[in-house]
Amino acid sequence: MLKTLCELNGTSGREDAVRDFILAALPENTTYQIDALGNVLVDKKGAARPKNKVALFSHMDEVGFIITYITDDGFLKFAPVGGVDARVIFGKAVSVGARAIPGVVGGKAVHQLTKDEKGSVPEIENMVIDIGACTKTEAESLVSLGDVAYFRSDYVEFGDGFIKAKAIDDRAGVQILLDMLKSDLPYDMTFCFTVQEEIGTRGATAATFTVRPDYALVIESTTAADLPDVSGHKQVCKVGGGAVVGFMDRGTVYDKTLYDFAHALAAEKQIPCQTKTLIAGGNDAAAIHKTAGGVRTLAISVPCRYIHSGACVASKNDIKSVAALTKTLAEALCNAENH
Amino acid sequence: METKELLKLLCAAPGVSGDEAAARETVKTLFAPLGEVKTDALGNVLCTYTGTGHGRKILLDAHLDQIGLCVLEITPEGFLRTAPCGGADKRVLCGAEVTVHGKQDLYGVVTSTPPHLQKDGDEKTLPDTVCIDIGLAADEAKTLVAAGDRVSLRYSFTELFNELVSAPALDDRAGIAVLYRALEILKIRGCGDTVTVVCSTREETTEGGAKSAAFNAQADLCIAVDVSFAKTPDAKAEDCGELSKGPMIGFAPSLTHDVSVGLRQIAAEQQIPYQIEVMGGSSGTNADVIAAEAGGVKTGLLSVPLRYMHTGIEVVSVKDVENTAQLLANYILYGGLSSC
Repeated sequence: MLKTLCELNGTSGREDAVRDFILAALPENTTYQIDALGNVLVDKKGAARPKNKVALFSHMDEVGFIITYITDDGFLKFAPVGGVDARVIFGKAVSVGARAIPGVVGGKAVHQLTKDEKGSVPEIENMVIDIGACTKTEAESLVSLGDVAYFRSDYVEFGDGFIKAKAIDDRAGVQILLDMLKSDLPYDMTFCFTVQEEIGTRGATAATFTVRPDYALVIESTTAADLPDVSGHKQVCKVGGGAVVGFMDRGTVYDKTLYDFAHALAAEKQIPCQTKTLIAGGNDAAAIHKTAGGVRTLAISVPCRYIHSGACVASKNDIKSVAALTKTLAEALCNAENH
Repeated sequence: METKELLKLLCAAPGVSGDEAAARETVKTLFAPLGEVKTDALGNVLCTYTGTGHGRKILLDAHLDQIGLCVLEITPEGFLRTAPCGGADKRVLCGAEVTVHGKQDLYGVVTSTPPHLQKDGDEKTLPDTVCIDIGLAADEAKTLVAAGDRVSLRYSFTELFNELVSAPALDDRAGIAVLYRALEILKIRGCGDTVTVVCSTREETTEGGAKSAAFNAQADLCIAVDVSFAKTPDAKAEDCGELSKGPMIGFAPSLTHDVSVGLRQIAAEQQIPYQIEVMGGSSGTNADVIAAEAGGVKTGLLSVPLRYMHTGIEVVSVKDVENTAQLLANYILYGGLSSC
């Protein structure tokens, strides 16, 4: 299922294909609403009523591009949707619009660069998408301004249990929540599939206001920099090191009690779990924990190399660890004494 | 086989400079129906069509190899540290998908450092070394990959509008497609000349394949077929040809002027679209080494216009490939005698 989810296209504000997939996958014993922003908020009955309302969040959107201008010679100018490093865009294949028109992002040949140009990639505003159109008129018959574009990238399994795909951030989270929804739960829980995380955690703000949980768990993907030439704490976390539960990132200072509890629970249940060794990244928790009077919030993430590129790399074992910790922690919080 | 299918077949077989084995097998099979196929000491593939008359000996060259990377070492973490093999465009490598040609072909991703580790202004700067993630620990990696193994940009073949296609290695498999099409025409037309096609190795690194082939061929005339720059929005018009406007006929001090003029004349007479590409010194192609080999060979150059050279998304026009083949065949059939 993760293959299908990652190969769906849904950049921020255009999550329709992912939303449709989720709705089709919902089991019968659930109720849901779709709010004005397009968040899907699902309630599932468990065996018992919980002491606390626990909501799990994953975001449907992925980073991508939006077509901003068509040149006289039929090339498409674009802006990134969400944070995309110029270096992972240049020279890559993309697909444009609902018809998934194939295109490539390029510029003049390496042989034609000046000395100054040689050491760096062009600015994103100087890149173009080439779909093979010869003229502006021809391009306009195929693509409209405001159409979105995506990395063209298939799902590949490689190495020792590794996967490569676009949009592992956060389709891995979506998959984990869908799997939980399909299982028998001991307590009632709420599942929020949010929009517009990549452009500033906007969907989660609205969703949290509606759901009003006591506890929120954000199921995410986070940057792993366990690479050669990156040393010590700068690696942040490691692919293969298990679920990532950090104490702080650029959007959230996490609930210390929850943080300690999650790590203790993981140790007790022998679920591989790691912290983050650098204050980096951010996710829907940034919005959730400050919304509707405040929500005790924790993020559990899949460590992911080359996140926000067409070739995100993660480990299947880490995804299993995130799923296991999510289920265990959510159940424990449903029944936790308030403190 | 349609030209598009021909390009697809040729690009699918990897051949990073110096390790052209897979590409070599593909072209050996491809050219077998057109003439006598041989390989030589440098791994060149030669296909000779013996002419019906007592004509000239003509050598047609396109290079078999493609740019890529080669493995320097396996890091303690199991990543492959690599260096360019040929002039790979470093700008496209971050996050690029590759195939590592070890004991078996392995999938890999070129590492990219996440933005949080970058300082201001760093986001455009390219890393000094390029490492490849193959998802294996060092011990396992060492059983499958060794220093010197080649790495190619992962094959994918995409059709764009207006009969444009995008794939890695179109530089210079597009040239090989031209030679195949041209030799087909010459054979059907019963050309009187004896024509040897060479799919030459190591152009991207040393041009050694073409130099050796030219020595062995002792040809009266040689035409090299390569790719050249097609205009992109950020390039100067005067530095480029244009896609879909026909073959680029090379004019350069290192090329035989009469051949260049003859090619232009035949293109005009036969109403084949063409463009003129003028270079101030040498051409930067196999034509330069061929011309000076074996006591000197009259040499011309035809180039298929190509966008995004030395990347994994090179783009050519199928029509340009066909028109280049038409011009090449027609020049040999009608134009070559007066000038050589």
